[in-house]
Amino acid sequence: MLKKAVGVEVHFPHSQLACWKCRAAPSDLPVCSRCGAVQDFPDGLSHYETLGLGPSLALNEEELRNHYYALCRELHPDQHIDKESRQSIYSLRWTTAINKAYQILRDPIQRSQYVLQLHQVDTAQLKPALPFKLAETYLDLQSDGPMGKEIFEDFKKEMLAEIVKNEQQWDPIARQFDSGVDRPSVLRQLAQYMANQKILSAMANDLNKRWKE
Amino acid sequence: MPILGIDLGTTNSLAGLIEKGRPRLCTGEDGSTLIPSVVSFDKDFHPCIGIDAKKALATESKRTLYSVKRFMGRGRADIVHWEQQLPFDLSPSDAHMVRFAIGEKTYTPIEISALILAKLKRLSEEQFGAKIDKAVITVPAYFNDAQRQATKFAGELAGLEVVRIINEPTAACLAYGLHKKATGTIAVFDLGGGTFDISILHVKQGVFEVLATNGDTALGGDDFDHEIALHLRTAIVETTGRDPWSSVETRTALLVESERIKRALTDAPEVCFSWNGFEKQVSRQQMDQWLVPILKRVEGPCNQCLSDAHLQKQQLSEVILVGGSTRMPFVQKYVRELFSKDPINTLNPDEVVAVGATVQANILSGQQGGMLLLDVIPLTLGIETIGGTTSAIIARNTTIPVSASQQFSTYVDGQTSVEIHVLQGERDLAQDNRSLARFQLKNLPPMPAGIPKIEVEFVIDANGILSVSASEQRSGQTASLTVNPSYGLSAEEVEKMLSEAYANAESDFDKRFLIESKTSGESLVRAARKSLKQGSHLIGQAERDNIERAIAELEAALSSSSDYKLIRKKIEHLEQSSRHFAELLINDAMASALKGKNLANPAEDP
Ligand SMILES: Nc1ncnc2c1ncn2[C@@H]1O[C@H](COP(=O)(O)OP(=O)(O)O)[C@@H](O)[C@H]1O
Ligand SMILES: [Mg+2]
Ligand SMILES: [Zn+2]
Repeated sequence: MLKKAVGVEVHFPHSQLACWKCRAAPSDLPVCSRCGAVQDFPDGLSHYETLGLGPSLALNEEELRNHYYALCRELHPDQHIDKESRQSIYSLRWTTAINKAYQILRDPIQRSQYVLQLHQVDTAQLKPALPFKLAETYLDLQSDGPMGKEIFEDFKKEMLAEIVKNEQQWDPIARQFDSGVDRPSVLRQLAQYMANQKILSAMANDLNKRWKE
Repeated sequence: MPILGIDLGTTNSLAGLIEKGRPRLCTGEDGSTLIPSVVSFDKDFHPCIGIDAKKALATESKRTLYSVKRFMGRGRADIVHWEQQLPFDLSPSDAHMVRFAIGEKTYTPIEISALILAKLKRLSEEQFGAKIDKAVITVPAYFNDAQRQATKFAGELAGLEVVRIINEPTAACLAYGLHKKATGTIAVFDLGGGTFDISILHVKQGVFEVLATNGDTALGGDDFDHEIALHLRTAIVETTGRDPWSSVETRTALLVESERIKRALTDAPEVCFSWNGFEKQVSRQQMDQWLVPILKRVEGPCNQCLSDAHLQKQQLSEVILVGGSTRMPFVQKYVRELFSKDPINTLNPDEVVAVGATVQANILSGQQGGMLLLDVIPLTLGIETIGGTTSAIIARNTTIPVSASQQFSTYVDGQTSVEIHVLQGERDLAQDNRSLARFQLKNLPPMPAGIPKIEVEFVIDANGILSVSASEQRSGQTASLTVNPSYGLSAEEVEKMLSEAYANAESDFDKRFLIESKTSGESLVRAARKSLKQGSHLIGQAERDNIERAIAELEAALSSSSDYKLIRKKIEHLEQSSRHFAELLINDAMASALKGKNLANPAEDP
């Protein structure tokens, strides 16, 4: 069995199958607690389940990394090289899935997007809620006309302020999500946060390009 | 069987393994662990590799190949801008692969690298006393797929199964971690002879996670030498009217001399350059001025690497220096300013990559519990989409093993097949990236444009091998392939080279080792017999019997066996059985010598 990483509760789903090696039924995941053999990676696990984590939005980055390293040390194919080929294949499948899950969950933006997707929240329709003046200047900027330095500086200042404001929302949303209270409302807030985030990062990118010119 | 760790360098190559928990590197004829990556051919086309070949550089420049790593996996078009600098000739015919012309023969960079690898294999087998047929080889982090595959194939030609290719800076970090039990975020700055690499890793609990990597496969000490030579040439022409560039020999000699000056200026602030009567004082400060514009080219890759790792330079806990060129004071100063941090220059920059390769080799032979390397793909992988653009499927610096898929569709009504063109590289246009493979997804039922749902999946295993599959979800048609090595050789050529290599390898190891083991076994038997005759009074009957038995067993093995392993075992057994006796003999001889009774050393062979 895996050691519990500091601060992270680890619960892998239960396997439906008996251990392929010692026939203990049904086996634990990802390794059989009786004989230690790596089990096959079951289809259909969420990224959270793949890492043996509950569906937390406010994951602590450092703890998540420690946990990911512990999983890799246990499951990476390089640690199973001299074992039977079945173990190597299963360890490859687990590690491939774990890498993908970690890649998404380590990043708060991708994690938020994934949580929305898990709860089937449709974000396509959502409009960003930004101050009118900021949006208007941005549209002007996009029309590519010559731009006064003053307008440019103002826009930049306002945009940065807006980014900070939006970022401040994330922590409370994440904490409330993890508490489980009033999920529908939290998900709405999260979706709004994401819509704003998307347009703001597009603005920042554009601005960076222009900055260089 | 041990796995050999190899640093196949542009300038020097090294090989070794972990013995009893410590890295040990093999040595060349001169006792150095650095085997020059130089191959020279004599009139009969017999290759000479290493230190002796390096000596031939100045005298036999047309028949001596160096820096071949710069040509690995490259076509003529990739190297046009530095072709002029080469003292040796290239064969004109081939666009896909550079070929060196020596006399009437031609050689590919792969074959030359294979000769170097075979030499390392032989030296290691001799010095570690074991047959070796597997290796971990390091490459610059920024090597593309063709360059990696070419390196792998060179290993195969040399009789080595390449179980893993790892990146040089990563290897350096493994070696550093082994040594220091390091934790934190570490940048590795590797400036060698031909390439520059920068990698950032996070290290904790024995796990080495590569966060990002970048570099320039055509930037290194060679470029410094060339730049210095250009300045010296100008001075020579101005003063003497003679141009060292006018002949291949003098040009090569000037390059060699420039390298010497460069090294000398690492230790001294000023040196005297002399050239057939022409003399000039060159100061370090002056050289630094010549070279800074070249060194500046590291800045882009370093910044990109930091930003790919989502880090500010202040967040780095350490910057370690690797590669011979980081010995230069101005490089160290530049790195210090670039990262606002004192770099660590206490590692042996020549050996650290090879030591790292031995560590990974040890991990992969299941011997290095508690250490694990999480590597990334160095370049973005994707497919070509409409308008000749590239659509990324797996971004560079993604940890492997990994898989990813994306949906595509058709853009022409009634299309019944689509071509999947697999690409590697960061550029937007497909033609600017490297083509890895093409295949067709066929037999689609005719549908209006945009209706088919084509899912393309990329899977990369722990060895970095990419497989691609495509399926049309509505009709269930599928197609897939594993991306095969493509480095400019045709399938027939690969076949031919391999069969020739195997034919040569067959005679190799077992025969040589058998002969060596027999010779040393025979002389051991003779020596032991003689000692027993001279000193049997020193030991009891039981010990004497024991030694006699060991001698008899070794003799039996020598006369009947063609198995070098058995012979070596019996040799060890005899050595063990007679160790105590040998000590007594030596003590006795010393005592006699002191008494003035001069006995010949009993252990000595007549
Ligand atoms: N003391 C030194 N001062 C300056 N340059 C050096 C010194 N020692 C080695 N070099 C340079 O380092 C380069 C070789 O470094 P190395 O790490 O062995 O390269 P590679 O790995 O590409 O073979 C050569 O260009 C050599 O001139
Ligand atoms: Mg090197
Ligand atoms: Zn079991």
